[in-house]
Amino acid sequence: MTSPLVTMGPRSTVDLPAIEVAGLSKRFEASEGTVSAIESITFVVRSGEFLCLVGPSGCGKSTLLNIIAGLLPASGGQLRICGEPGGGIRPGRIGYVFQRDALLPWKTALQNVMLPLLLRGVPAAQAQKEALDWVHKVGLGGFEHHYPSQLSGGMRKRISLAMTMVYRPSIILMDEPFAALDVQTRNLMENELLALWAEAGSTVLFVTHDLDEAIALADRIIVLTAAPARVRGDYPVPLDRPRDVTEIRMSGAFVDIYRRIWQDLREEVAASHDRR
Amino acid sequence: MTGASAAVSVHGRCRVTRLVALLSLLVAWEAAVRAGALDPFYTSAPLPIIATVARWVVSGYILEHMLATLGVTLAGLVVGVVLGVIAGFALGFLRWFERVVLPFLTAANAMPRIILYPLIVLWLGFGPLSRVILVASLVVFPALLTTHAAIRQVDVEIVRNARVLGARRLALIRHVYVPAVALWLFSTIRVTMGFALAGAIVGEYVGAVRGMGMVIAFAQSMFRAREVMAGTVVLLAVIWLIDLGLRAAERWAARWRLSEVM
Repeated sequence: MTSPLVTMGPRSTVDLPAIEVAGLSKRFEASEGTVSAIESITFVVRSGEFLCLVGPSGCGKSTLLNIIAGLLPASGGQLRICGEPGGGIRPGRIGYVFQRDALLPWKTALQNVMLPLLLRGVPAAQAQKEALDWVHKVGLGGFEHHYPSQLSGGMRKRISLAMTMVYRPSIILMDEPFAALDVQTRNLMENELLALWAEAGSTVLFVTHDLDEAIALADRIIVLTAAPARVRGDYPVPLDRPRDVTEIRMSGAFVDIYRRIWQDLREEVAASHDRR
Repeated sequence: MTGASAAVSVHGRCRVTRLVALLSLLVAWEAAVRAGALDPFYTSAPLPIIATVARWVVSGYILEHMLATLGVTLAGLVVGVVLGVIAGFALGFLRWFERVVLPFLTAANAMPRIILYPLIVLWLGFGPLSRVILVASLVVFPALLTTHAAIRQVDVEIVRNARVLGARRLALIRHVYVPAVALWLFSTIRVTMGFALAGAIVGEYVGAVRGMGMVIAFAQSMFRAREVMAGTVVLLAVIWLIDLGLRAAERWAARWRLSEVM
């Protein structure tokens, strides 16, 4: 109780929201003038929550994730990660699974998964052991010495997931990670993601334009407007866990939630189409 | 017959055809000289050329000159590649440096740098150092421009991913930029090897005490076509061997690009 370090530790992960976004905006300078990608967006992601951001394509969802990850500066507003101001890359805090798998093509599957551990100063032997565990956990045992060019899209996605989970980030950002996969592989990966998330207890902020996917995965869904992105609606998803993403789509509750959110989303999708 | 063995036999047949074509050309050459259709003063003939090469190899005469030429080539190549890669990284990472310097470099790359040789000799004399600098000047620009282009072409998403995973600048260079550059660098070294050797040999045409260029230039000054050709044959054989080694290195650097599952 006397040392502030001891009391700070658990409080920061349990009491504080994982991500707080307040009045955040982002403008880009383009040839035709200033383009507003995000306009005064505000929302909170609770610790341990699985939150899906849904919005029409090109509405600024990826830009928002990049700002939260600390890869892009915001033009205005505030951002707090676990109570601390500023986005930012701090080892161990944030994981980011990209839309395109961004594996290092010159490293084998195993070497890719080892990389975040090596960057954190984990000794090579231990990093290799932990990475190999994760390669097996995502179902790719036997493929650890393959290069990304020798793996299918689904396999590369699994490696990306292992690469993120291996260093146990408390927050995981996902930018339409399964968009490029076929439906079967995609449902399989979604179920595996839910299992891994339940086990790791991390916070997930998942971006998608697919409402089906969002409802199947999320605790809560935020619908964004067509560009510039603002919050259009905030919906809880009161479906039981553990879920099977293929079966839950057929339940009555799922359809009800879908209908309710679709009312809002439809207008935004139409708005984003009109603009093209 | 499976696809693989069919491919092998096609490959083998091409190889045999190639060998037959080469041999018939040599036989025709030899026959034409013997029949008096070609003047051996100008063209020599395959058998005497081979005899000369054999004599040179046995006496160790050619080894001395070959080593001198290869020494200059290799030293120049190493200096040029190292300087080129360092400058290429600086160019890739420092925007202002890139903006100021790149137009000069592109112009310098287009210039035939062999015209600098008289100036280099004027400053440093006819010793091997001048030739090393000549070779380095030939190699440095392709190495630099390749490194720069390779750094520019690295996938932004890969860099972002590495940064999120915790890579700072040094780790980024080690895990992302160096492997990306290595792929192209080996190809560039293979291509510039030809320039490098040519630079070393041209440098030896005038004023050198040792080296394949000196051997060939001396033979030419004595009107010995046979020795000029023998020198050329030795050079071709050595270039072929070096290229074989560089091709293996290139394959190694690009091993992750193979798409077939092994």
